Amino acid sequence: MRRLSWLALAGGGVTLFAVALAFHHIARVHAQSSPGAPSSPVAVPCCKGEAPREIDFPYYDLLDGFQSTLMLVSDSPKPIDLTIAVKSLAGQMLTTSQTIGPSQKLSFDLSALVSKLGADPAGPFGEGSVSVFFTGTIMPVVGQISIRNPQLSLAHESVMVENDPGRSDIPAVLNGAWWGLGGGRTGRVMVSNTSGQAQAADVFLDFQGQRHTSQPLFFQPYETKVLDIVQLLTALGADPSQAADGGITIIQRGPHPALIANGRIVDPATGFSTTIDFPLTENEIASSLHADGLPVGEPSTDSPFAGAGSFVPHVVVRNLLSTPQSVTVTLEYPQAPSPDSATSTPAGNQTATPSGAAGNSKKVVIPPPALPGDSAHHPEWGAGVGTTTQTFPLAPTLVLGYSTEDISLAAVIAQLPLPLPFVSVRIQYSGAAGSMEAEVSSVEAKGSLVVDALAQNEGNTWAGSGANPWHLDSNTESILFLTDMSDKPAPIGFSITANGVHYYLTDLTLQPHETRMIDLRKLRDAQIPDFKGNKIPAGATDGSVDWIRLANVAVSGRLMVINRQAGMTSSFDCTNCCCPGQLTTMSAQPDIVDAVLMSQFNEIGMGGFTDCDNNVTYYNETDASTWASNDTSVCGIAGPGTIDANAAGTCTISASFESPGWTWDGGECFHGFPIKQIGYSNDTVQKPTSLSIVSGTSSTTLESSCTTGGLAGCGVTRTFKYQVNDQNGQPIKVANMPFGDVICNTSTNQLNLQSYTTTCGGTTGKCWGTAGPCNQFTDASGQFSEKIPVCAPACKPSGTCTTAGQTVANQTWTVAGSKLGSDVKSISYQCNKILVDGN
Amino acid sequence: MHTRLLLALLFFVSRNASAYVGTTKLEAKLDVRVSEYSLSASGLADALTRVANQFRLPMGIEWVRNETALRNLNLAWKQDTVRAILSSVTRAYPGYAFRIERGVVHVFRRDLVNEKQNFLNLKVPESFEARDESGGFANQQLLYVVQNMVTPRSLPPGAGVGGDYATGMEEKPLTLQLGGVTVREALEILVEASEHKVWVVTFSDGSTLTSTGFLRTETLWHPTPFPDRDQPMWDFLAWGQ
Repeated sequence: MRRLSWLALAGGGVTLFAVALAFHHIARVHAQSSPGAPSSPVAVPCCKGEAPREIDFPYYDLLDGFQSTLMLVSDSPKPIDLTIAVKSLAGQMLTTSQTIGPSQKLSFDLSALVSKLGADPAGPFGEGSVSVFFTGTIMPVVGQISIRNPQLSLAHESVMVENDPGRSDIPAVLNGAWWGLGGGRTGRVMVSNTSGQAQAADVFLDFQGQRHTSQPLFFQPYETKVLDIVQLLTALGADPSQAADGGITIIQRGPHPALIANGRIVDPATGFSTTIDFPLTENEIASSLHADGLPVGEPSTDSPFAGAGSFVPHVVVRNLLSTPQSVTVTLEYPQAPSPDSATSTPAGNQTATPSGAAGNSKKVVIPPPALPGDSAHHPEWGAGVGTTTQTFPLAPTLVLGYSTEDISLAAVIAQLPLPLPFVSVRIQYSGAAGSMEAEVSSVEAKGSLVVDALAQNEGNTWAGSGANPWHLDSNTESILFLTDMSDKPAPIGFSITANGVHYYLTDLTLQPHETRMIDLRKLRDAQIPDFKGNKIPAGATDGSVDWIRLANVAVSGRLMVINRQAGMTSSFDCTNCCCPGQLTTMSAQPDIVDAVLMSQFNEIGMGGFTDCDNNVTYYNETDASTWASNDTSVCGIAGPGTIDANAAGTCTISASFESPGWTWDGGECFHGFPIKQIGYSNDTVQKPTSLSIVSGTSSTTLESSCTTGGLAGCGVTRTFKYQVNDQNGQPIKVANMPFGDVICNTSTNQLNLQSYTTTCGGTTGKCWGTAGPCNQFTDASGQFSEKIPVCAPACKPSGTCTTAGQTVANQTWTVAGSKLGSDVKSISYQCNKILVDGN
Repeated sequence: MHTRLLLALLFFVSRNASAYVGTTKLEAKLDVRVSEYSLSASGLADALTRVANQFRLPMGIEWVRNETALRNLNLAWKQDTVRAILSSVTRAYPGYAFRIERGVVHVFRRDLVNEKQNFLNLKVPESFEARDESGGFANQQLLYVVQNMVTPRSLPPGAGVGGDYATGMEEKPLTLQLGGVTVREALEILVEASEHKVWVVTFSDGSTLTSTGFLRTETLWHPTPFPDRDQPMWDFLAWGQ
């Protein structure tokens, strides 16, 4: 029944629907949730099958110079058909259909879309909400609406809420906080009814330590209401200047929550704009919040915020309880270890003790960071890499009941080791999980640029994955901030999709409490191939990034798009999976076909991890895998991924890896049955056995005069390239195989050659030359140039060059430690030519 | 006679002009300030070749493989010039110094550099030249000539020479007049002009000379003295080898 309704909508194409008609008969069962009351644990797999899905965006704005862009990102490995519904404030609806490709990013200018669908963007559809419908796994498509006013440098975000039939994230209670009102700053809250039924809600405003009852709200189906906070305060008889900071709570009536909300605070005169979030209370599992990647002071030159001004972070906390609770804010920031720290600190651990930390400094033990040369060290990723995480705890703040406090960090900036590329913020509160909400923003001194960072709950298992859109142009940068909020390392599966190319990072591990800043421009421009040999297309300007934690530790992330010229930033924090990626494949790679005898070669044990949308990322599990060989006489295991080429032949190498299977209880992930996967590689050990002359490389000079030992003679020089071949006559295309040769005279010496110069020089017995090695190596094709000269007085018996028979010498090569005894070259030195094995 | 003098003068001028350009380039490299550099090496020659590779310095090294010169070295620099790094390395090994010659960093042991037992002070025969030859092959021919000077071969009349030279490097052909200069100068000219950027003469520890009175040599890859008939030997490396 439900599916039929969708098909009718999709088939309708460009259709204006009366609110009452659309989805009227769609039955929904919404999950009820409230702070501190998680649903009872029922072990279920995190990844359910395909089902009808709906994601809702509470607001868009096309009026008064605002532009709204709906951005959707697929986390699915297959195309998904979408139905997009644009709803006016009154609840009228326009629909269209679109297909999103695997890992594709789609952008819709909603003004253009509304026009295309036959409505006036300056009319009733100038403001409203958006819904997207599709069939898929749990959250294969995520998105966000960026609302911008370039002329006024205003920007804020309309974040999605998943609202699937039978499983909705819409909370019964919506909580938001405003701050800094007055002096030109205004606040608006937009509330949207996602259902086809009328809804009612009670509204409360918390300010000055008290909860005040406002007028209730009544919604028509799909209606969106815009509430002006100043007007709400005035209606309560309050002076807005005395309620600069406060909170709004909207409690929905009835059993099926259907209201979602979004807000913004703007000052058109200065360009100040920030988003008011309404966090999902069902994800509030821990009494701590985390916000990533904020500028502080004048950021360092390697910061994405460099040159954008001087910033003061604000941590705005709202106590949802009637009783006081304390809040401790801790700043986390990257700092390069001092030159002495690496040697002076035992066991490689670093300690951080910021001076003057509000009388409450503490030491945090952090494992050593990635260092240059480590596989996890990628300088192209930008600031913060290869550094330690330092912490700076502020003195606890008491927040009274029903109060909102703006904890400005202006007072502590001077105590930080500036300049810094960014800071992250940890907020711990004393009340129960979900009893405190926070808005975290960093404001530039002129107020024109505000960088918002969503405060994620540390217990929110959904926060450990993301699918985000990115954009790069001459004015726009895209930066992904990933934070390990835990005390354990966090391996991350990571992929970027651009122009149909998938690009993977397979060594990305966050250290405890580390925030890693990944500059997508630097990552693109580095043009470093991934383990599949793919590169991010050099000219790519748009794409998507998917990431997921691979261990059950708290991780959060957001992708920030910054346009410095326009003074606007957008943060994308769409999450899509509740559990870490599940181990589904293992491979030992590559198949080595040219391992050289007596050398070592390396393989990678690559784990494939599938997320809840069947999207696969990869992680290098070489060190954690168990390695084995089916024939140790040919291939011995020297260490993880390191193989000894013991003898010529073939072998099969296996890498097995075990990972927990993750199970979700509806609120948290926990270990299920372990999953073991084994990957194999088929390898060949080649023994240098012979040399062949590369076709087309041979040339010989014309016979001409030369001198030898002070005597005049004649001779030639022949030059060609040798290819090193294996026991089967196959070329060994390997660089840096050392070689040397020994030349011995035979009884045939008509040119009277009494000495030979050789590659390595020296002598071996009665012969000339040594086997080496002597710093001569094959090129990347396993080839080398050979030059064979001869100069003999016998060729110039009477002042002119002539022929005089031949001298035959035997030349024995040694390549990569293997003496080519079965391929001794017979060199025939003649006055006008040189033959090797008669050729 | 005038023509020969003019040609000789032109050669002198052009060779010295080339050396001047090389020296200027090298001086600029040596004045570069390095934000951070650390070095861990097993002995003087190892340390110097690492520095040469790291900073792309043409270099000639003459050293004695003895206990002192094989001492491990672990040093780190911050905001120092390449010249200061080189100074630190040579200072770490008593008796050694460096100077810039013909666009090449020349590291030597003070007490041996001018000794007559040092074959590097021999003059290359006037007739020796490299004509359209690779640097590696020219070096091999120079080695053959110098060996014949240090350990004259008693070859029968009319004896010819054969052999081979193999390399995995791409080498461009060079035409160089090396006659009349010392062997050291010839090596410096080769290093300045060819893809081979470091020469290393490794003198053996001990006082035993060759039968003809020269210091015995080894190579980096052959750490025992060669017999007299193969004396002297040296390494002729490209950066990174």
